[in-house]
Amino acid sequence: MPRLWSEYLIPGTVQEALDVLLRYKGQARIIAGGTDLIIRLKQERCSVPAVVDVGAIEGLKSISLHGGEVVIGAAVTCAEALGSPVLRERALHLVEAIRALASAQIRNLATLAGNVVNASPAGDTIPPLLTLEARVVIQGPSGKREQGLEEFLLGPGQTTLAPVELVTHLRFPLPAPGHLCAFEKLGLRRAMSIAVNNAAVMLWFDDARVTEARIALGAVAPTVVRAREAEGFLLDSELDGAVINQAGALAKGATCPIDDIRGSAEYRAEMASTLVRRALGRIERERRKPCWPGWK
Amino acid sequence: MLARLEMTVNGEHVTLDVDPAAMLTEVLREQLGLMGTKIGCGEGECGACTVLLDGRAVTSCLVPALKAHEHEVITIEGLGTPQAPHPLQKAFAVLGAIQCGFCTPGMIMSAVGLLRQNPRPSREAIKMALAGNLCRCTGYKKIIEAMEAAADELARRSEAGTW
Repeated sequence: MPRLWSEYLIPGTVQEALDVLLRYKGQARIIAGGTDLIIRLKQERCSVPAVVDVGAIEGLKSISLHGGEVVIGAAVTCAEALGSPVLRERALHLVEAIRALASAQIRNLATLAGNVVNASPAGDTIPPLLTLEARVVIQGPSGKREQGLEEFLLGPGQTTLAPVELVTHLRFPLPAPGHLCAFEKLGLRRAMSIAVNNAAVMLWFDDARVTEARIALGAVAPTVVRAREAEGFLLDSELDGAVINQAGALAKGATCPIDDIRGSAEYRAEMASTLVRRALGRIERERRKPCWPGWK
Repeated sequence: MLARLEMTVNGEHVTLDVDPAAMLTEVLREQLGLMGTKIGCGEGECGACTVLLDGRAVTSCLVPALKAHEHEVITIEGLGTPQAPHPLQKAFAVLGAIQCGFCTPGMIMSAVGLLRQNPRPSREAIKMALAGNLCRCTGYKKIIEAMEAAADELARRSEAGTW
């Protein structure tokens, strides 16, 4: 087995990290939790000249609220995000997705930003982040740029991130009160499994009527995708059985899955529909509880 | 080229020169002789290499040793001694939660990580905390029972002020 890397660098600032990336002419790799990168380097038996650990950069370690936006630093671990009151109150599907991701030990290492940059079509945190309309904040040699997460993801393991760039934050508008959301996952085990399918649904209501709908589906296309036809169909409707079934059927239309060791394409398309129906059913049961809306 | 690593291991400050590509597991076992931390799958699936890094359970096979620079590591050797075992170690031994023993250090370190955050975990919380630790012998039942017993014992000591 070749050595995974020759140098391990721990910059203290974003600028230092960018300088290192430039110095290595894009040959250095960024490491945050390392739980995907290390496994990939081992599997591919490859060696890189240097890795740049962003875990010690002070400005990247917190979740904050800034002018109506939730800003998540690139070094925030999944376990830290689980403890965030703002996510628990306003983005419960993201919290559910993190709880469904890997194991306690991995959640203590892995970062949310890393799950995004890894760009797996099955990445558990990506569907909820897409429904939150998250944006990726990127620093590079020519300054800062920002991109919607949907545009940032290009394909399996592929993003618009250049080798000399660094994701510093994820951010999304603090969801307005009055929404309900759910994350659903089908894995081959209840824990430590890569999703066969996953899905996130986020709905806003005026009483029983849906005023805004966002649905994202994972593991059914080269990137996580929004199911826009199903979203449009839900607008102005009330969630009864027929509406839920129809939304599920329309969601299936947004998929173009593949066969792999975890499931067949046909099964995945069906399960995308099933997970959307499950999420909608769970949301409607929640909405009917006497204590909802619980937003003060 | 070796790199300088300073960290606290089981309460002791250590300074070492390490291969920058070494994982924490290798440094603990091969340079510090702490063989309690096991190498199983080497890719974060089995949990046999679990240690605490700044109080949180992590799979040390996926932690570059230099990530522990200026941080605190606790291994199974830092918990108790044969004469004075930690309540988790005692419960695992007494309640039959150990068969071949290979997964035990990782199981116990995951358990310590959980109990630090949640001293009175539900059975569901225990199962969730142990989801990243594989045991091929016991079927997990006795491991969960041992964790419950140890949590009770720790709570009893904490109430009695003897812990």
